[in-house]
Amino acid sequence: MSSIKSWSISDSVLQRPGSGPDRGRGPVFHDVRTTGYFAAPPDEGIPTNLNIYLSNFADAPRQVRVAVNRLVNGVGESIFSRSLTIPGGEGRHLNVEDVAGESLEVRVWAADDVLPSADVSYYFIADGGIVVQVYRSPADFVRV
Amino acid sequence: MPVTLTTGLFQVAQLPAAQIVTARVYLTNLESEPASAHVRASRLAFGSKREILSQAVEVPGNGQHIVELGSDLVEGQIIEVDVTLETNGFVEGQSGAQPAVAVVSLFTGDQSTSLLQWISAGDFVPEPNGVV
Repeated sequence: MSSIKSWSISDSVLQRPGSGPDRGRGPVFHDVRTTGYFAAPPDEGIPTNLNIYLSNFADAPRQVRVAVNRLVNGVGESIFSRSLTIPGGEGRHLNVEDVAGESLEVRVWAADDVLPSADVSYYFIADGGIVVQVYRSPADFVRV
Repeated sequence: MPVTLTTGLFQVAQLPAAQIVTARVYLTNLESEPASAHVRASRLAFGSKREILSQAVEVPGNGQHIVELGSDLVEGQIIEVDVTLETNGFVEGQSGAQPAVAVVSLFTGDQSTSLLQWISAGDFVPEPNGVV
């Protein structure tokens, strides 16, 4: 079992809009888009990371929330959660390390003019090589 | 009414020096009349999307046009490819010309090429707030 670094920030970030002490005053998150679960390559001793890309096509900033789950004994377990604001016309790259062998799901809450995409890539530290193993295009994210 | 389709952001591979990685944008015209298209590519740098290519092309009827993005522009980079196409009577968001992207490596030792990643027409989505 590969080691997973948990990047969860705090429980308040994971609350649904309208709940908790910030009810009615927190950021508004939209319908969630998800990749569904997909398999990362098996652990072959090569650093293997999940990369999430967010491209904001609006002229204004957009708030985005990203969560990554892994499947453990049939149950989704959160391994990453981040809320961020992307300025208009810009993009962001998020990275989750050590995902080899995992079944992963990427969830994105954002307005329609933010397009998510993702990949799982090998990183060859010795020569700086990057090889994309699994790719999820914006079309692979579906609304639920 | 033109439609702009985008790949969203994606990582281009980076390999040792003997292997040169490039990205090829394929435009395939499924109709007999020539089709005009505009290809744009951007690279993510410190959060900003910086244009690295903007090119108008003409795709021959029942033919294909390839736009190549050189290693110096894309290898190891996070890029985005946008293609603007004429819809010519197709329903909104569709076109008789279809885009695709191939990330390929060239091994300088024997000039052989390998396909590293394929982004099909189905992986492109209409660009939000799409512009011509």
